[in-house]
Amino acid sequence: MKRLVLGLLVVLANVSVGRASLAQAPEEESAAPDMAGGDKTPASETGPAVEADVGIGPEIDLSDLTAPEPTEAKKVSDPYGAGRKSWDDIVVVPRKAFLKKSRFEIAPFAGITLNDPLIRHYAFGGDLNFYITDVLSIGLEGQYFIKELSERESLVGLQYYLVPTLNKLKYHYALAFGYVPGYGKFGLFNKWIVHWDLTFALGLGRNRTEIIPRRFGDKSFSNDNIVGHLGVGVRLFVLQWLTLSVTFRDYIYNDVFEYLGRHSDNNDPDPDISVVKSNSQRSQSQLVQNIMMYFSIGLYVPPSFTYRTPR
Amino acid sequence: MKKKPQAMRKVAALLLGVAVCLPSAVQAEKERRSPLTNAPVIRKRVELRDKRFEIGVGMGVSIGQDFYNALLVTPKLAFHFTDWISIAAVAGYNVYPGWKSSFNDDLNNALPTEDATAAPSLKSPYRDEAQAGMNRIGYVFVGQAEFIPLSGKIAILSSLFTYFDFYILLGGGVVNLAAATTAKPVCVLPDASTSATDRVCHLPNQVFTTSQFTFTGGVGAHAFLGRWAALNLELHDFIYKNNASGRDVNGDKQADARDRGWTNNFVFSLNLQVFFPTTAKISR
Repeated sequence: MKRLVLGLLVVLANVSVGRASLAQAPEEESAAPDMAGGDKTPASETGPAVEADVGIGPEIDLSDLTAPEPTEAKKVSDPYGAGRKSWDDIVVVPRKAFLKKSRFEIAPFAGITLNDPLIRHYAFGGDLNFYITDVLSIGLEGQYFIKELSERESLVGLQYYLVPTLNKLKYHYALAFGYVPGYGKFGLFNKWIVHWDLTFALGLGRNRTEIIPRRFGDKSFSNDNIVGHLGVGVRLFVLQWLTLSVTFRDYIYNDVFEYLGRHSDNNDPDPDISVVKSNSQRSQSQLVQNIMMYFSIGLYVPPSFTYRTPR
Repeated sequence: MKKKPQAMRKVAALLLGVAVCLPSAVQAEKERRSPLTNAPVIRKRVELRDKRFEIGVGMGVSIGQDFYNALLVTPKLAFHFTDWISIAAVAGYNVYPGWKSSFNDDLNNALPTEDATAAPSLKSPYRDEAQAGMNRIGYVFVGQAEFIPLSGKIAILSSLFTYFDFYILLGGGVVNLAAATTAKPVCVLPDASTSATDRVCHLPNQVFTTSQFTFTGGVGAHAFLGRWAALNLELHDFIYKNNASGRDVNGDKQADARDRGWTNNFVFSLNLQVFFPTTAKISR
């Protein structure tokens, strides 16, 4: 009998200790201090990425609260209030979701020209960038173009009995510098947090263009031009090694078009192509702005990164 | 014989222990969830749009128009039913109707002028004829529904923090297409020896000036300067039937209604919008 009573006491003691431990468990989980130093745990594996939107951290918020609404504040501060949730008094500040420093970015892209109503170019190429810091990069870009004449170009002949003077783009390569002035995050339906950044680019390179002769069957010539470009874009961070970007770039260069008097010289109605080129360089040189939009996928090497600051 | 009841008691105590511990262990497993389960992803969120009006004005510019660009004054009034859905009325009035595109300039320079001393142009229209046929956006007025799935904040140079949102819009309204002048087709004599009855007339224009229905779709963003003011960027695609040149398109050597087709007309605008009431709610 004694053993039975003793056994029951042990069981009851175990149960009560177990319940006390359970009651403490959430506090341990939420309040466990982070050790300084490296931490390879990705933010996505540490539970839901919940964060408070106001009044946290040393941020200088342009639209920060001067006085929080009293009713809301009262609700939160009332620890035993009706409808109080378990997460009400837990503050979570997710870390920056993506680090780029000392990583390579390989970014294949596809693009399209935006500002020429007569000829459209599709671009296929890639960027190779190295991030010196988290906001500064240096890289190479290269792209090949495929042309498409627009409906407006075909109507010029029908409506005005004219043939437009056009050049097509062949390829382009450049050295480019990147800068990230802004880093943001947004809530998607208040269910997921997506991190993104704003990118600027400045580059210098060369392209090759080729004239599209106005008269069918005429020989064409090519131009090698020095090209400067400016870019602005938005990059979404998808995985530790994967990003998606939309970028706009403005390429500025001086191009040479087929000169207007190619067949009007009575002394030489069919001049040699080298003469056509030199005459065109003299009389038909023009500054060109080529605005393009690109979609790209960024693949990062090494594919993971390590946080070096405390959480 | 004495050991049997003792063994029975041990078994009974063990069963009792299991019966008590097992349900509480199962319950404990259930309760061992993250305290953040079911928490909204952003708490104490500033609901900058919910049940608020916004009103403002700005400027818009057309992108990729064939003959005339449009510089528009763009007043906008909106009401946000929730933080993520709203309706808006947007207008645009072209304040610079004479703004030619570079293609129009090139075309104009290439076309002949009607000069009595020069050889007559038998096929190409004269500059004035070509210009008379071209239309441009006069004004546009649309109602639109806006869906705002993305909202958050951004750090500029790691020191300035501001709120923003992205949205998509869909709607319809009226677009007015205007032309500056009208001109009759010019008829010319091929050469001095031909009689007046052998005149060659250029193909006529049919200037398309009307107010008609337009669909619109696009994207937009607010960059908040405070709780009550925001910069509002919008990219609209106005989709309507048009023949911007006013000339033959289908090759039947006349310009008429059959030459009109659906066109995409992009307008980018930047507004300064003020929100009412001037304070915003904060979520739990």
